[in-house]
Amino acid sequence: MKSAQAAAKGGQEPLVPADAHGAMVHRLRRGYRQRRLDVDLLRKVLVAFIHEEVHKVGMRRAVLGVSGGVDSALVATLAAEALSPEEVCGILMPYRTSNPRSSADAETVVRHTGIRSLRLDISAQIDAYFAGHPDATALQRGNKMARERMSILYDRSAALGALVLGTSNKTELFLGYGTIHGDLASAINPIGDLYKTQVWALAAAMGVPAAIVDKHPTADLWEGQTDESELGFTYDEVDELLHFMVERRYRHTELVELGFAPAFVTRVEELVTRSQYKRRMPLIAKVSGRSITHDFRYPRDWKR
Amino acid sequence: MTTKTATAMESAAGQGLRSLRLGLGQIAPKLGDVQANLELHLETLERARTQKTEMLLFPELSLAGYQLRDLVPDVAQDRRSPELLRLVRESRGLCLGFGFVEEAADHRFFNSYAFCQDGRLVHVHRKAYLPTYGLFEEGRLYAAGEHIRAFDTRLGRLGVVLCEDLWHPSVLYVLSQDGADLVVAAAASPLRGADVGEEHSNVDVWATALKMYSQLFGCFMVLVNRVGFEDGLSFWGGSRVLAPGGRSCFEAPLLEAGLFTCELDWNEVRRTRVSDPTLRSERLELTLAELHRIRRERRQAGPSELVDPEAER
Repeated sequence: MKSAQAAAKGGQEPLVPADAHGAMVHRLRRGYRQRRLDVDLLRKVLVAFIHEEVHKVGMRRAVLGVSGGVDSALVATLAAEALSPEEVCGILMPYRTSNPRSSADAETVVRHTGIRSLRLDISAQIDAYFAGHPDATALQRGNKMARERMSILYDRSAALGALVLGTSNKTELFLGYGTIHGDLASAINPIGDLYKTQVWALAAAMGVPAAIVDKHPTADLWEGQTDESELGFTYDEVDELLHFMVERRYRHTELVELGFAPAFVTRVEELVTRSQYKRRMPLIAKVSGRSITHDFRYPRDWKR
Repeated sequence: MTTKTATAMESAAGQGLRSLRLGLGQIAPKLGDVQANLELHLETLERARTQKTEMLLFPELSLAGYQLRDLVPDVAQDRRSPELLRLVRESRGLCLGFGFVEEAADHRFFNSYAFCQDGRLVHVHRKAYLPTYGLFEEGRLYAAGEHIRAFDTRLGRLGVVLCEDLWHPSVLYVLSQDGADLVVAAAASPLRGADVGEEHSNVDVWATALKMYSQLFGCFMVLVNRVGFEDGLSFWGGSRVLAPGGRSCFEAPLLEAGLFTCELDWNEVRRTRVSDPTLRSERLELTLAELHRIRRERRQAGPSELVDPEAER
């Protein structure tokens, strides 16, 4: 498990500082590292969530993109348990420059969970589009690929009568590290409230193969890309910061006093603020007395 | 043990053991579908009846669902509503508690809990503390109840609290002083926190509070919490019963729907209050006097501490 490895690497526990302030900081950060996820409870909740939400809307199947990464591997595992493997379809959607390791790992996930699968290479449609836009940036190409995959998932959703499962974790959602209307799009997302390090822990506990849990996370949108080198910090680091910032509501000055570098705190605050639009529905200009999203407030599970 | 001797003596005097069979309807109501939920209540009630259940309890808003938002007026029950009347009528031969949205004659809505016995409505508790923070928005949906009252049933003297009410020790204090031997805490509590032994997990707070109240007030504490999902909220179930003194009598599984039955040793109330007579020594007048003083001082303090007291000179 990634976080355990990191803890082991940094193995030598720093000595407890003698002054009260330092000792308190030491205790707080040690408290974070010693947290243990109740994986049995979490597994039960997320399996039941998938089962109930799929059946509520009158379906019994689910479809998801399987990338070879740990997020989709975990969702595939949860879905197979919730709906039975035959009712889950994992779709592999490589592009011609995708790392072959991703495809191989995706095949491993399919074999390991026993879910059905479908392989659809997206190179033809992506290349056809960018033939007319040869100067497109890597980011544009990556986003287009993510949306092409979304478009395929929703097409297969209609064809199979299957709900689209989301595979974005809480860390990505906070940092805005995903493509709006691309990989961020889904009907239901069982892991959207789990930080990346928690995804690792739950995936390991649920028997996702170690090769997938332990590898460096990558969006695989261009060659050699890894999340952590692109973001400039590790998931272990940012998850600890987000824990104190979001879950525990520590303020900027307090975070710096806890030992997080001021520039790191500012950067993450900016990423979270700037990507808020990705986490919300489009804004609707209110001109009537009762407007959708403003004051027409019905639950989505309305009579479900 | 003194307890054993006391029991033996009571039996000799015709004060034998008294049991109470309790049914906990840990159900997953359908959000905003009163008709479907009425059916679910009636099915559960039928099963409870064949098991000779004496008191059947459902969770908060069991007839309506929880995260209602704009659905509140659509699912509200008034004194003529057929679903409410039907459930009251169905309580013949037992005691029955269920949650619903109540519409008052002046069209205010309340998050309410009905307690019926033998076909009659005995008590309605209107939720006094409406959580309006974080994911909760009850303050914009409901009016707050103005009463906290214990009431008599043929099984004993009871109190009812709804979810957030339990997080206010004053509510339990009042019910204790009003003579409740058993407090029903009906809840629609969503899971918040999944770390082992996490101090912020609300399941942990509930467990601690229920145990503490049953110990300090010498009463039965019964939690009946719902299960199921609404818009991504997961209600954790885990309905449970604590005997006076804090002993755990029964604990339903987390997240699983079902009718769970357990038997209470009713005389535990008396035994506990004999050995720990905190209720006897409680000083209502002292509490009242101090509360009056605090209220007086708050009023005297003025509207805001931001105002510079020197500025008026």
